[in-house]
Amino acid sequence: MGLDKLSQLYRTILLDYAAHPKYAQPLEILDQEVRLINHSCGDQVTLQVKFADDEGSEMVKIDQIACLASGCTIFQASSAIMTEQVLGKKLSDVTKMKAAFYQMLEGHDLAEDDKKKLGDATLLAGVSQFPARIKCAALPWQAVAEAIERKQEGK
Amino acid sequence: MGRSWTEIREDFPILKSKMNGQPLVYLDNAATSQKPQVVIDAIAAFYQKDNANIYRGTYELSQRTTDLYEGAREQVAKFIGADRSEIVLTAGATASLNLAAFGYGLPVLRPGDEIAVTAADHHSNLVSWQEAAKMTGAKLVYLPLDLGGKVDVERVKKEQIIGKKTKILAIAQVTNVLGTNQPIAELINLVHQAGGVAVIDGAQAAGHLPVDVKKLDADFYAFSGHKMLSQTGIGVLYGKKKLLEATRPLFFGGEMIEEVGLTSATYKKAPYKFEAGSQNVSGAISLGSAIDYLTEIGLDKIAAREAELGKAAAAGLRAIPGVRVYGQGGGIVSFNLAGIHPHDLATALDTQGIAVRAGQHCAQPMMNFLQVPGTVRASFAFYNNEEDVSALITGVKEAKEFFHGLR
Ligand SMILES: Cc1ncc(COP(=O)(O)O)c(C=O)c1O
Repeated sequence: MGLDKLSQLYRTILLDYAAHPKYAQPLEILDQEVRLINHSCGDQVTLQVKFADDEGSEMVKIDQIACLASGCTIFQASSAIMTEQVLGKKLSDVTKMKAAFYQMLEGHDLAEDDKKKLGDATLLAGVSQFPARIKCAALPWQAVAEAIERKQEGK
Repeated sequence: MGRSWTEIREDFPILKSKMNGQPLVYLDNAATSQKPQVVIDAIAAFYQKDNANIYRGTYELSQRTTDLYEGAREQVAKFIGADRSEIVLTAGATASLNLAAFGYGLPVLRPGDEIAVTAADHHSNLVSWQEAAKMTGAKLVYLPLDLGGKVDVERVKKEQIIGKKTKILAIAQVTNVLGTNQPIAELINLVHQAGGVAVIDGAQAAGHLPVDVKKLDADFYAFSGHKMLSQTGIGVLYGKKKLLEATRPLFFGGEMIEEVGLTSATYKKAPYKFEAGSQNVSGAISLGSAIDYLTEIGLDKIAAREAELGKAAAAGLRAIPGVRVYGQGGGIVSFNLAGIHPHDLATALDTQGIAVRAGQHCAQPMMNFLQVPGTVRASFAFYNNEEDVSALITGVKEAKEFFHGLR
């Protein structure tokens, strides 16, 4: 049955991520808060970020992060993985990771280097087989990219 | 005796196709219907034999095209019991509802006036009136719903929720999340007693049950062609003659004018003043063809068949432990499986060849009313069959086992 295809998408480890997000406690001090909603399915994410405090330099990092996500399994898993993967990373690296992640969702093979950078986010490669679900996996990355963009535009 | 449902199903070529390697079980008819071969042929024949721009030509072909377009208007009029002068051809229900809200509502609404709506309505109805309210200082009033999403008419009467201040009632005849058949005849009566006007969103009703706008005494009635077997980009706004005359056009340009001076112009009479620019002729023709097809089967029979399939699906789903059915009306059934997000369930069904819609269905206030982030909606048309019902029920059971097996 078609459910074989399904098991490539819903891997147990993803369900674990979705059920046990590590960074879902609201931050007390934060620099940016981004709220995104996928209107077609109702997935909602509020992403809070505190940047490491060395303004202007090339070395700004994501110092603290909280991702409050409610929605489907793919979305929740992607949210949880994203937070773990970007925490402590330089903003320029996160931007590259997002680009690589999107490439993967579009079904492109990734260079080893990119795979390494994305870590467990590569567990979501199966989503590319489900075009209707790409938005679910992409939304948390879109949120972090927006937080970075706002920071860089000095908002 | 007419043709059997099995024979009728054969008219829809897409139903023989596959999705994810499985035979397609198309249960998203409330989003858009599939098209019978006659409608597909009518569109092709138009482009092969009759295509020219309408009204403008001085040659025979253009006249023929114009006759086809106007013939479609006539068919629509007959289909809903109206006069052809009361039929505006639009781009769809959304365009029709926007025309009612901004062409009719905007000029007549005053600060403090009330627009009666419901939380069960589609965004295209709700948001248009929200905007019209913001622009005029009018107020939206939400009619009380019972647990099934149906307007509680007794309460509306007792608490005089539709009253002197009510200028407009804007409501779906059949709602798109639960398929609720609203008591619109009573509500229309109430709004008329209050001196207001009823705008009925018939997107989920037209083509699914017999509609007679005169019997309903609807003032405006909106629907889409693509939800009733024709192509996208064509729809209808019916309006009582006097009201259409009072309605301002939203688009200005070619063919809607009478005389154009340097600083101002006069407009044609309704419905032509609303049809600026080159129109969707193939859309109109496909709509006419769909109307013929539906009428031949019979709208009463269609309504009964869709309700039969909807009920069977709801009963089968309710029998699965963990499934909650929020409501069923006609061919529409909305439900959830405990612990599984609707989107995940829809993907599991997708891999089994079953097309359903999952999410908010353009009805966020309704999701809040049901207190869910979303639902899975299966919507049956008369060309679905009992096998499709079984496929859905088996599909949900298999999905349940799959997800529980992962735990
Ligand atoms: C009740 C209702 N009203 C309005 C619409 C809008 O129709 P369209 O998207 O064809 O303009 C829909 C379509 O989903 C609907 O279900």
